[in-house]
Amino acid sequence: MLDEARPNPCKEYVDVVVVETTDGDCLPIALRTEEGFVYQIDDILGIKERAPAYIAGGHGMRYTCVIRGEKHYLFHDRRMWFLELTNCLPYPERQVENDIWYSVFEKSGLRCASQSKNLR
Amino acid sequence: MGRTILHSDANSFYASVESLYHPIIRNHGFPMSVCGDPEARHGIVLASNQIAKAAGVKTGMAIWQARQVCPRLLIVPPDYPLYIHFSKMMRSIYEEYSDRVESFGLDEAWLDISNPGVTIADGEKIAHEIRKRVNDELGITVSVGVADNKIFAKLGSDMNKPDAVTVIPPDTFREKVWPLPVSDLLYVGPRTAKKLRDMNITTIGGLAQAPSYILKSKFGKNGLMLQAFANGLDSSPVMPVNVQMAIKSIGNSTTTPHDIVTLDDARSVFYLLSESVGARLREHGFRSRCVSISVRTVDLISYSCQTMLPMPSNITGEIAATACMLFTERYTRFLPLRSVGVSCGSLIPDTAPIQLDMLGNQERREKLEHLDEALDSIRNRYGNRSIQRGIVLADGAFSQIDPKGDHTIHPVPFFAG
Repeated sequence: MLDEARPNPCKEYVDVVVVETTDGDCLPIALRTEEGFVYQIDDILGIKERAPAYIAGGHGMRYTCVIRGEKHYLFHDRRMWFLELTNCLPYPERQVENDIWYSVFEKSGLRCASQSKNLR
Repeated sequence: MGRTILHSDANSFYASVESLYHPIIRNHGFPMSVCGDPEARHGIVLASNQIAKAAGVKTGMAIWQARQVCPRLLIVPPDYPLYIHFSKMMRSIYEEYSDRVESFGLDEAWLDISNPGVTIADGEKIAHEIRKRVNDELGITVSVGVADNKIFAKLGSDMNKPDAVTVIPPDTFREKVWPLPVSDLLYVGPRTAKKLRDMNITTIGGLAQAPSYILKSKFGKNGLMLQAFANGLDSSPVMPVNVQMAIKSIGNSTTTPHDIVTLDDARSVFYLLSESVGARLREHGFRSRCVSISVRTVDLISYSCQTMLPMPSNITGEIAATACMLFTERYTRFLPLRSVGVSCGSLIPDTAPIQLDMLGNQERREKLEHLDEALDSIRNRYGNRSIQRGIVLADGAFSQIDPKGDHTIHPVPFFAG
């Protein structure tokens, strides 16, 4: 209710491509923002099983991700994923590099960073 | 060997979780209350943050009263699945310290960390660790009480709020506990507190030192229990129970406003109780195979008996008819009665297939089930007394009883086992 009244600029719900490893871990490898931009997650610096998101508001399993050289917190709260945006994501420019998830997005009809740029 | 028991209590649990999910409340320092839905006639304050509490908003106030004392108050609807999720996460943190964790509601739990060599000082260390971890991992604050029994541990967690640890040492508890008002003690509610005040007992120390025979004459064995609590002599174990304990039977009993004298009186009370039992069976998704009744005469002697149902049922009419049949067959000679109860055991999930009876009328039973569902939805919207059976209305005093609404489950875990 409050969320609808005052949208929180620091909290962005995202679609996430996840790899479930043989170790039983669940690692995000790419995400898609509400605007349709796709970002590759370059690295995961740390995972905390339970962490509060004080700035975005919320709670969940926290992945410290590197996206385009910047550190961002990605949270998995029960069934939803959200990004805590302390600084904005850069405007996507680069061609997507990982073919596998690129094709996943292609097939599912989602747009990728390069395409989104053209559509704008 | 002395025990080491922690009691952890999340500070204004619902409000803390909501503040975590709505940072705007915390960042701007809004007074906020989690309130029930006014349309479903649950429009009361369930929990408030510190700022609202400071403004005078109290749990249990109606929304309009809360707005009167605090006009800027933000009202947030409750999100129970979220609170249960947090409660489970808290419990999983506690379970890393002990396998004996007893939940008491969603936000409180006792932990028994006693082991050979573990002292109260170690308990304090662990309490601080738990407090820090909950704050760090869940973003909410807890108060922890450390003592050698459950009652004082709970008392300790209520003494300092928020985000604090209070130790009540077993050798010097008198200085800390006895000056406190008696109403702080677990199980001393407003009524007991008033009765004690009439006896000139206002502090826990007063209760501890009062002559036992007076307490016994006034409160029965509960009086002695309360006195033992005040003296730190509670030895009840921390039960490894969860909030979602397996339900084995569902029952209701009531002491009627006046004695049950005639058979008609008894029938009307049985219908009233069955109504509540049936509704709770349906609410939890059960059918029952066994109905039992209990009666207590005016001389306070209790009897009970039970019978199997021909088919598993959660139909109010069938439960009530079975209860009445049991009563007329066996217990009419005990009239007049002081209290009666109905209970349903041998529960099976209502999704389980049932063996149909060749001669039975399944169509009629299904119609009755639909009827009960319709009645439930009316009662959920407009209250338990909004629609009643004629038989219940025969006696004005009995129709005022609301077994489902008055039914409380909170104290059960303490005495379980």
